[in-house]
Amino acid sequence: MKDALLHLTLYVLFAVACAVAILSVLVVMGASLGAIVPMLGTVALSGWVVGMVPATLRLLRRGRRPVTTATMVACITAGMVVVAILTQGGGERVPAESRLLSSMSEGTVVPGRVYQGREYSVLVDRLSGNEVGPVIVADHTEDIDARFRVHPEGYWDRLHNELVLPDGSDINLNDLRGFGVPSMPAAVRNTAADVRGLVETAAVLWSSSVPFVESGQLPLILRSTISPVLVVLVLTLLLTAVWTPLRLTRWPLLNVVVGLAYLRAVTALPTIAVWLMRVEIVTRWMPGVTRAELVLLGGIAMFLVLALVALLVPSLPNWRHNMHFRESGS
Amino acid sequence: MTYRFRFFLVLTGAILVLLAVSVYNAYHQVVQVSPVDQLRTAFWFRAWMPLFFDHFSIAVAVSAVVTFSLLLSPYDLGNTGRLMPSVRPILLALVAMGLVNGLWFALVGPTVELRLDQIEYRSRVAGSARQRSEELLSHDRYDEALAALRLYRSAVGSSPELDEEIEELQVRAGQERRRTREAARRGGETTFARAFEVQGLSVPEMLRRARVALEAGSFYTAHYYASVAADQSEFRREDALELRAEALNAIEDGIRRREELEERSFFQDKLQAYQLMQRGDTDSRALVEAYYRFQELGERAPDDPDIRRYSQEVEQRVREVSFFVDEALDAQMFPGRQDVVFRNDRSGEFSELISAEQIIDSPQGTYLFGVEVLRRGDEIVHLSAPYGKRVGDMLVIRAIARRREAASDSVDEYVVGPRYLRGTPGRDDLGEMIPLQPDVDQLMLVAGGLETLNTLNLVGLVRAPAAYDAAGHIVAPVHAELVYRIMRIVGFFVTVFSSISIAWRYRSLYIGRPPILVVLLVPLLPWATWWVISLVRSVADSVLRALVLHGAAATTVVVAAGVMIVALLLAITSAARQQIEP
Repeated sequence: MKDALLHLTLYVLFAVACAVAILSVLVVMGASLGAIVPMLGTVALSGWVVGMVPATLRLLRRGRRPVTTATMVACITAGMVVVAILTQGGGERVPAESRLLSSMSEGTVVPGRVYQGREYSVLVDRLSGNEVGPVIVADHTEDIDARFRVHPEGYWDRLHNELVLPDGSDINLNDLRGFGVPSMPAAVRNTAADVRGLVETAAVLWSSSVPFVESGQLPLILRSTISPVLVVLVLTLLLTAVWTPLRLTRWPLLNVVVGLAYLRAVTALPTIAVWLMRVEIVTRWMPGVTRAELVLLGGIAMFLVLALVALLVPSLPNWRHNMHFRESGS
Repeated sequence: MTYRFRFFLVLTGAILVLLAVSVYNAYHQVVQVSPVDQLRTAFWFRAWMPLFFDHFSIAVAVSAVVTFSLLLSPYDLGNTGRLMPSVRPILLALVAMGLVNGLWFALVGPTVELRLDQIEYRSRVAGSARQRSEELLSHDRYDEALAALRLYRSAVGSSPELDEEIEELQVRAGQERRRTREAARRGGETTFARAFEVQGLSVPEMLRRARVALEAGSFYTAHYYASVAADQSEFRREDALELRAEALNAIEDGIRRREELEERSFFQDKLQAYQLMQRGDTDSRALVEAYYRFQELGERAPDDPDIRRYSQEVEQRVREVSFFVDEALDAQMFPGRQDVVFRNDRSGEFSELISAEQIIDSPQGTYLFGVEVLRRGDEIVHLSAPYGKRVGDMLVIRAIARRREAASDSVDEYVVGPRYLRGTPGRDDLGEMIPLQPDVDQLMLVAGGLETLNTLNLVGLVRAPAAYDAAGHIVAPVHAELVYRIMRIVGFFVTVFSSISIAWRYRSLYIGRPPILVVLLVPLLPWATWWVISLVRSVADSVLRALVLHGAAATTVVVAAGVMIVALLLAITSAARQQIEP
């Protein structure tokens, strides 16, 4: 038990470190503080899951009785999943409510300075909240007589990062480096979107009728509990099953990579489901299946495959022996 | 197979894959940009390079990861000791590649990016110029078609076929001009009966016509009619001989009088041109007029020493307040920078923004094309001009034709000046001579804005913040770009040494070849390496920009340099600590 608690502490430490790192990246890249509160559950779950990889590696290497720890980890994961589902939302760029990091998350514009992009150059004389004006725009896109346009006033739509000019076309500020918040890199943006998509799908499943069966035939108590339990169970199993890829081969580096790739694949389940729905591969066999149900089905399939793999890989003691790991109490 | 061979084999494979991807990407770029035929090879030659070198460190890192993690075993390296000394040849090769990478990001890469931008711009200009030329030609507007074709030549370079085409068009344009002039002249002339139309006329009729012509002052016609009448008469006609003599006298007298008149007129024209030149000290328009007057006088009296002297002097002075359109057009064949926008504040009373489609620094001077000026003070003045030239510390945006056609009666035909889109010319010379605040070097650095920072080499990036500040641009992202560029140079070594260290530490423990299912998972390694490096780069870039925007640039530079040094030391130390143990 003592070992299990020690390892669990390690899990928590890694999770906190990962969650803080994720939060920092999101804040710097424009997910403002106002949006962080509803995101906290998702961020905590993400931090916990990513932190699970190095912590599990250490557990596999040194843990004397990993089963106890693994059970506790699964329970905590389930709790995290529940919190993430119940608090899901946020993640959008909205004005910050706190002044602590507001300037960083809101972005700034230096009045009187030229911001030049490929298509436009913009100079804002005055900035007051979201009101800007006068705004001078130089259009570099067309071979026109008058490239300069003077707009007496305008509005900075921070949500879409656009400069709305009542007497002209709107200008997308993502193309103007230095204007407002920096744009999120594609790798971060896609991963964050997928994580959010997964939690949202889980939330949909949580509150929907029982998947794949006629819920009217079930007793009320089952109808209201079976979906949430199923969702939490599948997600928890899927996430904690990262254990298997992490001891898949006798090549530690590849194990980590496969583990991370597995987690990335789990987060991509809703995106894959959307694609499958679009190309109508699955809907031909299962007409009427919803996207959320398809995600659940995919999750179950992934877990079953992983369970099969877990049966095929060498037992933990054998694997440890092959990896030249020695058991220790710490 | 030695360990070195294995590493270089994997490296070659990775580089070939990267090269293939880069060439594929270049193909798409070529399709998108569609460079003109003359520049297509030059574009192809460079288009694959940016992506290749952008991912070069990833390819090397992947090679290191695969080799040190899978293909090398302690048995290959002598079973004992530290890892680094045993793989010295690989380390030397990696350092050499790091230098190539550094050279690319510091010097070569920006030059290639700049050239690609220029080819793209030139292709765009050439395409539209060619199309315009053909359209104008179909409407028989030869002069304009010729100008468009010359612009096309300046963009793509000359070739015998193109030169021939231009020469042909020049001839046609000349013929058209001549036709126009003659038509104009004919429109204003009083027509007289031509002298040779004498067939079938009787002698009295010819004598009558001779008298009419003499009275009308057409002495040559009168002389001709009288001579023919005298010759054709069967007897000596005194009246015809008298008329002929009278006409001849009038001709000789007229020649003498005309010579005197011409001499007097020439002197007066010279005096007027000289006075205009004197007025040119305060009135640049008078100077331009004086230039043309001396040009015309030079054609009338090429050997006149005064004209020659004053022509040279006035041309020199004209060049101080204006420039010739043909010089600007010739300058277009030199490479330049596109889309420059800058603040040109020189008074507290108004703010001034200037933009130009293109800026070219040629041996003949610095020219701007598609100039626009927006001045905001009590009233807004907005003007545009097709050409501009830096003369001293002034921007001159009034160009003149080198020669004025005799038929030109409109100033617009030989003076290409500013067009007021809003407001009117003030008392000062706004629109003709504008004092420039940033210097040309600074404008060249600012041209294109932050999106073209990738075309500045390391020296340019060090100078860029001052230039951006002088031009009224936001400066912080320039600092971020400088730090990021240094990070890319140093980051190569951090990436590679970290890859070796991690790969060796967590290497495969299979004895011999791993099972085929494991081998099938190996492609995940390049993916993961690419993903991690791309993520770190993006995050570092974004964090840098955010920090520079919200904090002091100098502090960020120092902090970033410190982080890079620590990261490099950690990576090297980590790699150096790796042991070879079975």
